[in-house]
Amino acid sequence: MDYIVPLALMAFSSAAALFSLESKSLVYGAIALAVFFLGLSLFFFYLDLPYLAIFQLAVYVGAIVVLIMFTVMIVGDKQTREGRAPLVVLGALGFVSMITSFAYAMEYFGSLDLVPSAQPFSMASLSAAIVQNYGAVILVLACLLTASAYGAIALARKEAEET
Amino acid sequence: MDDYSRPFFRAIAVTSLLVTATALYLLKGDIMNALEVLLTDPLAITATGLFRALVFPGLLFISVVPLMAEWVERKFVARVQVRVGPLYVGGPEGLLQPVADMFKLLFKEIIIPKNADRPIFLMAPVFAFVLGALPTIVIPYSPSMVIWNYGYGVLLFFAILAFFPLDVLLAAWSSNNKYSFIGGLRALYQQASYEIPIFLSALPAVMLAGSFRLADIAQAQSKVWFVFLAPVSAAVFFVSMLAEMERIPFDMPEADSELVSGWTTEYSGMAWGLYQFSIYVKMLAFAGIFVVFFLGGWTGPPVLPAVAWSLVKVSVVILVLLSTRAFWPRIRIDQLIRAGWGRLIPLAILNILLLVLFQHYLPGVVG
Amino acid sequence: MNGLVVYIAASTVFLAIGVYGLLSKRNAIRIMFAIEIIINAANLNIAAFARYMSYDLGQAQAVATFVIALAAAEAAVGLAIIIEVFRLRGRVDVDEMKEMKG
Repeated sequence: MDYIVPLALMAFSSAAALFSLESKSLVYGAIALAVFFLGLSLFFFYLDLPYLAIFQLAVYVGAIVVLIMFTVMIVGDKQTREGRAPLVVLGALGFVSMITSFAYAMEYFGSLDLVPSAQPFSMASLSAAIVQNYGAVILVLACLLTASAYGAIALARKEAEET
Repeated sequence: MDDYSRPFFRAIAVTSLLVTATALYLLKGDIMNALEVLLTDPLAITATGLFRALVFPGLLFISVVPLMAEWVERKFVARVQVRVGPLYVGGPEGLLQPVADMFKLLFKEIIIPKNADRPIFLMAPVFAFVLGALPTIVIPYSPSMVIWNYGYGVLLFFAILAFFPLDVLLAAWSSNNKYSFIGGLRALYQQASYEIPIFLSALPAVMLAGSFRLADIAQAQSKVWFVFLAPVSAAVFFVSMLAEMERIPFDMPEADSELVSGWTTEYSGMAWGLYQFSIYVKMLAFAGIFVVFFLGGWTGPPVLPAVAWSLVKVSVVILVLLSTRAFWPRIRIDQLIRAGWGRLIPLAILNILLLVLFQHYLPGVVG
Repeated sequence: MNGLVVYIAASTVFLAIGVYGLLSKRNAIRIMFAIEIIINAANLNIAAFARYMSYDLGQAQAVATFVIALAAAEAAVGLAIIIEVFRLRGRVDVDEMKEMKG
């Protein structure tokens, strides 16, 4: 019984991911990507990590998919020539190697006797981890985010100066 | 029903089937419980989960309030502009005008532009309505009158809020009309940039109450409302709320003198009606959350029951929200963006810093 | 067998799909999709291992949050670059971007 929900979510999310890569129209691809992110957040809900699930929804669907959609609408739909044969072979090789490594991972983790920890989620432990263990990381991250915002604005503003 | 409307109503049917199936799955315990209560003690039905989901904070309530709000808005704006407003339909003062409007919209033809992207064009209003109705499930109207007393209701509310720009952008793009698209881009700028101040200005309420559960936040204000402890945050929240709802000082996305009617230009009939409906449902959700964050939720002197206090406060907030339409002119989009990033976000952050200092150095005085 | 295996399987499938997209697509925006899928696969692993191996959930969620924030920054810069390339060339196919070749 423990496997049914994750397996169903896995089928749902991987179908959405495949569709996002294979759809003819980029806008529909972006919608499928949003559905994929939704599936991931359902995974996090099922793992009883509500903060992560909601953060995933807010950032991915609220910001990244909107950005992608905006870019698709500027760049224009349906103007791609797909297919790079040698690289598809390489992709297949990568796929095979990944399946192999997965089999190894299965052999190790599948033999362990693991049960999900009953540790309840608490906002306090998250804040403690961020402030005490990752204080420096979050400062670096803040600088990085600011820099990326400046970079993105600088790149996107060029047109306004030219015209 | 004409040929053009059929796909739209099919879209509505599919969505409502999905929503109903999900609701049945989630409420399966509650339904049996409600049946049992109905057979033994019919008066206790208000305490069951099914009643909450279907009648009071749930479905019936959020369907009726928009109609009432539309009537109040038209009447109020008319009085401010020395007009009479709706007068003829249904009893005194045209009370049933919104119902008549709804029936008119239901029977109108839904025109789909030739180059529109049909599936997205038809699904976008349906999703807008579902998204507008979703926040209602976490908003408490009394300690027991809440559909889902979720421990992270604040976060869930803002996560749902993040979906709106996506829906607007899709509706605007699928219409294949330049007015729609410009309106949609404006809505995107506006909603995406005002999500940040609205979240930052909600944080003081969370910090003062020490919980992400909306019911706890309301309960924590039984002594003093947070609007007195964090007035600047309340003001920032209110302004951002107006911008998120695209009410009149900030209605650039729909600016009817510039953009026909913004991203809803190509929508007609009930598809347009659903968008209007979703705007009012969203307003109800925002008014409810403002009351919970800053006006004490259901707390008040015990002359009225808790639910009545909530309803009174929500009505007052909705009335203030509606009144801005009569009193303010529209501002420009660049002014709006500058105000959002340059004024509201620094103000909200400053407020949080002050609150942290107060809580650290004067514990007991606040929070 | 235990529940963790399903999550590892899901994560592997997402990673495989992402790598496939990364290698087989020309359109820069599609490649962006593939990168996001790969990042999400990694995040799912972080969450699942934290739950099943009894690690500190606070720390795990902090790390996953950082990953999501980094993905947001990467998407912002990447999409700005794509828009800029589109303005210069009118197409966003990656195999046509050869100016930086030595």
